[in-house]
This record gives sequence, structure tokens and C-alpha cells, in this order.
Amino acid sequence: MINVAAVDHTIHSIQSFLPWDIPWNSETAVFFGVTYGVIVVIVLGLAYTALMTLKDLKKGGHH
Amino acid sequence: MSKDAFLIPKGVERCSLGKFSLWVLFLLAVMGWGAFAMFMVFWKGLNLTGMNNYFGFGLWITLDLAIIALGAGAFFSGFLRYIIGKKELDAILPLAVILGWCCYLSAQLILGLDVGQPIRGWFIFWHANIHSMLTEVAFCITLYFMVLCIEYIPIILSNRKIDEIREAHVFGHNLHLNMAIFAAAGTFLSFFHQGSLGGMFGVLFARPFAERPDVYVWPTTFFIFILSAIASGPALTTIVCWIVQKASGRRLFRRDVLSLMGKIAGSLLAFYMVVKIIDTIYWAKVVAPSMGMTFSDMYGGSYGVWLLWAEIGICGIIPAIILLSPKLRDRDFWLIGACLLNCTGIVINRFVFTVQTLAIPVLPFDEWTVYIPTWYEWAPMFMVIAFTALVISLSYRYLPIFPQERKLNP
Repeated sequence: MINVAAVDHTIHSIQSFLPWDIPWNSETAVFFGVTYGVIVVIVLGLAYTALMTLKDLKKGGHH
Repeated sequence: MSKDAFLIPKGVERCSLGKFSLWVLFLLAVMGWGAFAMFMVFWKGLNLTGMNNYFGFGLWITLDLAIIALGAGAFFSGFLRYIIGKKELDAILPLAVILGWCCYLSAQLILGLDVGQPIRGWFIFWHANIHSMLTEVAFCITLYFMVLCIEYIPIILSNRKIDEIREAHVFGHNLHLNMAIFAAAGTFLSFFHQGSLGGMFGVLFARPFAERPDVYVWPTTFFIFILSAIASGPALTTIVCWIVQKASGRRLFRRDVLSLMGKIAGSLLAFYMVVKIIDTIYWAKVVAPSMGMTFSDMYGGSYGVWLLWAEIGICGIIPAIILLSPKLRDRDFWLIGACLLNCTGIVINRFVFTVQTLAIPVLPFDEWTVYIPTWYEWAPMFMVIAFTALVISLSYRYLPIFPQERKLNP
């Protein structure tokens, strides 16, 4: 007979990966901190490249 | 002059459009065969495959794991070029990126087929189970694929006609200048997903063939999968570079670039072999007995101990010795032969971790069983190989992916 009370009922899956839906604790903080960190690096890298491009185009373009 | 000459990079020669079209048609036919098999599997279900209650994983997962390891040439070449500063790799870096892009796209395509319900594939991101290594793999592979797309963009923008557009030219140039940022992100993501793919097997405590002890929070397979990927990725890149050069009949890069790739692959393979042998001995002497099993219990039926000798001996130690020898790796026969063995060893490794792990009897009523894939499983595999060949063929024809080609073929 399974002791239902002894079964781990902790919810390991989250509702969504949006910041306000994440139950922030030490484990989720590491996982999503790193995930969001990498996404930020990629987005900032692209944004910086786009800004450089606009600046270069204003100056007359790269040759 | 070829009808598509206006798209072909300046100063290089390519075969006629007719000849190229025939090749493309052949590849499309193979891809059509694979797409038909995929359609049938989606329509009729996984019962068309050789998988059953014993083998929940089969050829597709083996293929996934293998091509993700073999596709590591992209991130590791990028890491060596942009982080370590190995400028010699510029000669083949675009091809390494394209190959990695194809490997990761193919892996995701096959995974979509394997899960049976690709329409629910987004669940793993949206309802992430952060205790699962597979979740980490899914996030890292998806993000890394985005990085590969970013790395592929400047290569596409360098097409002769696209490059005439000023905005595209400047954006491509700037993207190239900032590539170190993306290469660093890609390296980080790759280390973690290659590792977590191995970690997934190492935590299977109900499967004594795969289970491994932990080093901090990761089982040893986490590190071993990273090492095997960075040892085999450059080897596949070397093979593909060599094939493209042979098929084109032109000199596309200086020979010392291939030797350098061979040296990198050989050094990493040698290190991987040392770690792998130590891990295997510890597993056989300590881990397996602690679970009431012996080394010989792990091999039987069609999955004999020959697989271990093939993986570690023939496809591990031998190619490592060949690639570490400057004289041997300077000769195409030995270099490509050793790289092929290297890649085969990694495929065997991924096969045994996927299929043999499941074949071993672990319950009193279990017996040794054999997994035989059906053509519905083989066809998608050939489809992704044909897809990779198609992308590389198109890229070689229309993009300047070998910077040294013009200089070497005056």
C-alpha cells in the first residue's frame, strides 16, 4: 500500500517561463538566471551590431 | 558561362548549372523518401518503427546524440578562433558553422519526429521541469541553434548579389566583428548541452550500464560527453572539408589547416580516451558490482564486448595515435581514415548508451533483446544527411565559404 502522504507532491514543472510565473528559489534562480543571462547577451550583441550598422550607414557605410 | 554565374562568388569556378541541378535533384529525391517516412510515422504512429516496450529509444536518439556531438566542430572551431585566437581556422570556419547549423537543425527535426507529438514540443520550454537534464538540453540546444543562425547570417550576406546591398554588407561586416560575443555564448551553451546529454544517462540509476558516480552535481558522463564531442566535432569538420575539396577538384584551403584540425582532434581524443578508460574501469570494478552486477552481465546477445573494444580500441586509441603523429596526419589517407574512426567511435558510444543500456536485462523476467530499426527509421536519417549535403552544396556554390580558394586557384 502506498503511503500517499509520503509521496513528494512538490511541483517540479513551472506554469510558464515568464519571470512572474516562476517560483523563485535557489534552484529556479540558477537555471533561469543563466538562461535569461544568455538570452540577454545574445539580444544585446545583436542590438549593438544593429546600432553599429546604423552608425556606419549614417557615416557613409563601410568599405 | 553558367546561367547562375551572377550568384557565384567572383574569381572562382563552379560546375555547370545542369550538373549541379542533377545533384540537387538526387538529394531532393532522398529527402522526399525521408519526408514520406516521416509523414507515415506521424500518420500511423511509432508502431511503424522497430521500437517497442523494451526500446523506447532507438536509431533516432542515437542519431540525435551522434550528430550533436559531431556538430561540435562549429562551436569548438569558433571557440579556438575567437576566444583562443587560432586565426588559421579562418580558412574553414564558415564550413564548420554551416555543418554545425545542419547538424543541430537535423537533430531538432528528428527529435520532433521521435517525440511523436511535436505539436506539444513547446511544453518543455513553457512548463519547464528544472530538475530534468533534458530541460537544460532543450533550452541550450534551442539557444545555441539561434547562435548558429546568427553565425550563419554573415556568411549568407556575403553572397555576391546580397553583398551589393549596402545595408546588408555593413550589417554582415559588423556581425562578423562582434562574432566573439556569439562564439562565447555558443561555447557556454554547447558545453552545457553536450554535458547534460551525457548527464541524462549517468543519472539512470535503474540502468546499471549507463549509471555513473557523481562529480559534484554531475555524473561523470556529463564530462565524458563534452570531451567526446570536442574530440569528434573537429574530426567530422575535417572529413567534410576534405570531401568538398575532393568533390570540387579545387584547392580550397592550405593543407596545414587540415593537419591542424587533425592535431586538435587527436589531442582531444587522446585526453578523452584516458578519461574514458579510467571511467570504464571504475564502472566495471566499482559501480556495476555495487548494483549486484558484473562487467560480463553488461554484454550479451547481439551487444557483445566487441562493441567496447571497437569503441575504445579500434575507434579510440588507434585514431588518437595516428592523429598525434605529425608524419601520419600530414597524409590524407591516414588523416581522413583516423577522423572516420574517431567519428565512428563516438557513434558507437552514443549507440551503446542509448540502445545497449535498454537491451540489458535488469528485472528477473527480462531477457536480452535486439533492436532492429525499420526503413521508416532509416529513411529520415538519410533525409537529414541529404539535407546537410544540399545546404553545403548550395553554400559552396553561392557563398565564399573558403576564403583561401581564390588565392590557391589563380
